[in-house]
Amino acid sequence: MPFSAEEVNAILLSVRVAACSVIVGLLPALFFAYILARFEFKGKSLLDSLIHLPLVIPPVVTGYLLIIFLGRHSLIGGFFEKIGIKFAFNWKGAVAAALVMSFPLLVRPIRLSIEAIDRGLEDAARTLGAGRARVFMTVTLPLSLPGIISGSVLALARSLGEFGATMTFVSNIPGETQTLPLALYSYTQTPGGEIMAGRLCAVSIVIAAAALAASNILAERAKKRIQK
Amino acid sequence: MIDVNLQKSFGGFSIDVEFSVPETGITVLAGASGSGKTSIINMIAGLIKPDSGRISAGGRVFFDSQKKINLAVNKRRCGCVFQDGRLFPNMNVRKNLLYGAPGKSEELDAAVNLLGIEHLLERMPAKLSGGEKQRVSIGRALLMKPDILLMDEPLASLDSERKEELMRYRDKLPKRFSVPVVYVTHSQQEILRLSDELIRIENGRVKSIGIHNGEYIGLGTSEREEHVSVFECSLQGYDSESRAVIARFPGGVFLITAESEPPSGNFRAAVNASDVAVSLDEPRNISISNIFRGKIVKIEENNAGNITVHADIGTPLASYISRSSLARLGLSEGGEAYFLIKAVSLML
Repeated sequence: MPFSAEEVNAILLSVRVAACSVIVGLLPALFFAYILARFEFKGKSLLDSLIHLPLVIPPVVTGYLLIIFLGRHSLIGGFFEKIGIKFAFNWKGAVAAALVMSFPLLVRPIRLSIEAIDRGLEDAARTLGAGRARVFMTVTLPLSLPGIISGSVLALARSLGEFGATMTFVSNIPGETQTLPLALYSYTQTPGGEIMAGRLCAVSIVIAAAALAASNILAERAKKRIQK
Repeated sequence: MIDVNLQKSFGGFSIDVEFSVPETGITVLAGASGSGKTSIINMIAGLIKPDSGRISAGGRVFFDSQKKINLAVNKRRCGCVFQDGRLFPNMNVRKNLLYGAPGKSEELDAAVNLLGIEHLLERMPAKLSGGEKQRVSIGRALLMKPDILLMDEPLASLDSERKEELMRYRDKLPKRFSVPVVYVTHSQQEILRLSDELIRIENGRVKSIGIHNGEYIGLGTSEREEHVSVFECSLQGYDSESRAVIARFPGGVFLITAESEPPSGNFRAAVNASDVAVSLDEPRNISISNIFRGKIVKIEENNAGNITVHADIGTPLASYISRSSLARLGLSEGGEAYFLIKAVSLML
């Protein structure tokens, strides 16, 4: 039996939402990982906790907070609506939910890999006449690539599996916000939906395993480039 | 001229030094580990900020606490060679070399030839030996055309063979690139072989600044804490039959056994105090060929419980003898004696 349009929609939507959340989240994650790894400042532990918060609070709470802060009548949601980005009951809202939920998993490996870079290398680059931006682009960023890769994969996997916050924030609308986990949940609640649920379950595992394999290959390549 | 005057406090340890580095040659900052010499060159490079003081090089002010000047690291043009090389692991040797000097390929060729690293250009740093890494690191620092070259124990992590290999570049490099060098080390051998000027650092202070003729206690610290007498010598000749170098020093003429003729006209020789014996009569029929008559300047007990005899044989010379020898010979300050030098190290 071929996949139904609803199933295909859910799979494609999930991949799109997860990919977008990683792509949108990567730059801010790099920024926060870098300042957390390299600078001491007031409120550093507060910022650190704030980033990690979605890991520990119930996803439903995160979803509810997203309604409050990104809803149409909120300050931030209103601003985004003005520049043409609507979150409520929209797949972009699902991206926002996935982004917030996966952000700590994106930041952490990047931060660890930046912390593992010998500061002496950055010092050496500066003595050779490089300003901070050039040091970052030529030394820090390439050397933190393994962390960027593993962070991206973790975040991608987390986004693919995002359920609670998405359901709470943008609801479960087929074709718009019904991602793979939401569709799977719906099938488990529908009489006779077991086959579809099973298939989506398998697809979900395949996508996650493929992402993991891809990241291993990429990380291996990044490592080889340094050890050649 | 590089003028350095800086103060910095690190909790229980403080640095307070003032010295000048001449425009040419190698100035060695020598001192024990933890004496503050690495911190001093890091402050010259701008990697550590002093609490107060002034650092200037050839009219350019790097740091001035009164005028609130603190030039950024990347504006100081201080080439640095670190103990651990610090090559960028994500770039091959060519890219490392050109990091501070993009697009200067003619100079790259010259530097690469000089350092003997032509065959390494496309390799990644992880595949280089310790000595090769340091040569690349030196090349990278020189190619940026620094106003000063700061070297922080560049040979410390290498075995003696690699040290030898690198020290051979000593004469070529600063002349070819005409850059003043500040060289940090705690090795007596490196001090004697490399330095044109010597600044000794102890506990964050300058202990002495100056030339080499004379006696030192524990000149470096990686070797024994022994009195060493250092002579500036000039080559008089080489007897290839007896394989002896004939060298003139302020106290007369030395004979030193060497496998081949030394290449340069001037060099240093060092004599450990335990290699010097004392005799009241002029010894004849003896295997030792370097015997000098001199005046005893001072006799004192040393830390090892032996006696140190400080003599003047035209230049200061120290000798270790036992207490019983002192009693038997009846040596006294102001008296004359013969000093028998058993071994001389040539610092070529």
